[in-house]
Amino acid sequence: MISEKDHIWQKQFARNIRRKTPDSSAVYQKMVRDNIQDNLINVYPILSHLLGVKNWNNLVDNFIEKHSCQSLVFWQFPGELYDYLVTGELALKKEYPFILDLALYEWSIVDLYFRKDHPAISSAFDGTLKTTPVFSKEFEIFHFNYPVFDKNWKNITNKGNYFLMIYRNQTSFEVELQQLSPLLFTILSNLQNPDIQSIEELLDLITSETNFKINEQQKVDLLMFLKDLYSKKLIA
Amino acid sequence: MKSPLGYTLRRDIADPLLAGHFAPDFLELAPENWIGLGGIWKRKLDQLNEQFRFTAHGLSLSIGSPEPVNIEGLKVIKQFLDDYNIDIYSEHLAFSSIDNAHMYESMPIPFTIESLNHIAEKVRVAQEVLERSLVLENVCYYILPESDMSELQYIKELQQISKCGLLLDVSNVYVNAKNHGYCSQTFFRDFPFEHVHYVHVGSYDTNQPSVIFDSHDRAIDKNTLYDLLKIKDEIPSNVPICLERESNFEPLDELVNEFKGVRKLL
Repeated sequence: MISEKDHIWQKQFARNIRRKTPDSSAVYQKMVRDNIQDNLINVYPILSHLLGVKNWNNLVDNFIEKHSCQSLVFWQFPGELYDYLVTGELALKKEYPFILDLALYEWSIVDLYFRKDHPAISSAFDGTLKTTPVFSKEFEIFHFNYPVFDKNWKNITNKGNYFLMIYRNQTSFEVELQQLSPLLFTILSNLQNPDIQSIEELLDLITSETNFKINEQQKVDLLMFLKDLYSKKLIA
Repeated sequence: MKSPLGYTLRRDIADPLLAGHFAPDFLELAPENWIGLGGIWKRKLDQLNEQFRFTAHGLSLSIGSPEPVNIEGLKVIKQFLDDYNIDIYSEHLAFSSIDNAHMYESMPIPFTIESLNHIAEKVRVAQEVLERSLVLENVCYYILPESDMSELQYIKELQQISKCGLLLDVSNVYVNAKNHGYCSQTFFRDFPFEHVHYVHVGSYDTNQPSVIFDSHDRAIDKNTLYDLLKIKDEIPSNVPICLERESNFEPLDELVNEFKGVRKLL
């Protein structure tokens, strides 16, 4: 057993680093901060830029102090900044209402680039509307309230409904994105529900629940879209 | 027979290594930088593993923290070591997590009798889970907690009790000696070289006014090379020596020339 004295010293030392207490832990405060800061900036280049130096540094300090990082794996811990933002930083979220969307967007790009291979293995999709496809985990869809993917950052405060799919290209391994229509987003998000037996059943359900009639052309377009995903090995 | 000479594997130099522009005898990686990767980096890592032998230098074990070993985390690391046929797994004689929070930095431990026994027990558990020796590294410490013994005494005692292997970081000895006012040769004089399984040489930043920092971002300092030359005959033959570098990989020619220079020296 470690002695109580040693235990208390180690706890206090770590606490002082996290709280930036002015004391002999200053060297370690800088080392911990520099390391975490470098990793976070690499993952959140737009967020850190848009917040400005002061707000960004405060956010990093608060993250270190208030959030207990759980990830053993270094490339994954920056994702915990998004988790921290979900529950904390109310004032920052008020000042920058797009912050959660932007953090999720930037983290998802990195996560999808690095994450473990998860090909869609079962082949349920037969190219018709009578089956339901199985999705690869290298593919995700998002509903954002701000156009965080817009290269023109000036538009980022334009509140609205923005639907996006982000996926890892199975040939180049680069992360790519594509905007989705609200209908396509609704279909794709519901197709991931295991209770849905076929695409046809889902379309009937959408029609009955929303009174939105899906016409034949839309069905053809949907099938083409799904076949494209199939060719990209994002569904099977 | 000469010791194998290796180099730190970071993503920045993966392509030149794969292209054959640089050919160390082995590559050292931090499992925590590579675990769970898919996509292009999984493929590159697999290709590198076909060309090079890997060693692992862990970052998150936190052998010196008061909590017990994170068994589940260690199992993940073991799987990675198995997947890539890695025999040598080293870690820092330090703590990097406490109070259920990772801090991603090696922090100093008190060199006390109680912590010695505590860490020795953690080493035993870790070696059991890993099914291989745990090799512990002397780290740089920038403050020294209240202790019962010197770092060197502590390392020797810990090795005796736990039977762990030792990673001798030659640069860290120099940095600690300078920062804490002793001579590195005094440290080496009594070091238990017979238990050294692995050696690190790195670089440090001497531009700060009051303290030298372990930096791994530049060419190896001549003081480290001098120390290495002085002790190289003490180190058991065939013990791998790794040149540590974590940033500033450009221009590559300089790294390659530095590597060749060290190889010639040894």
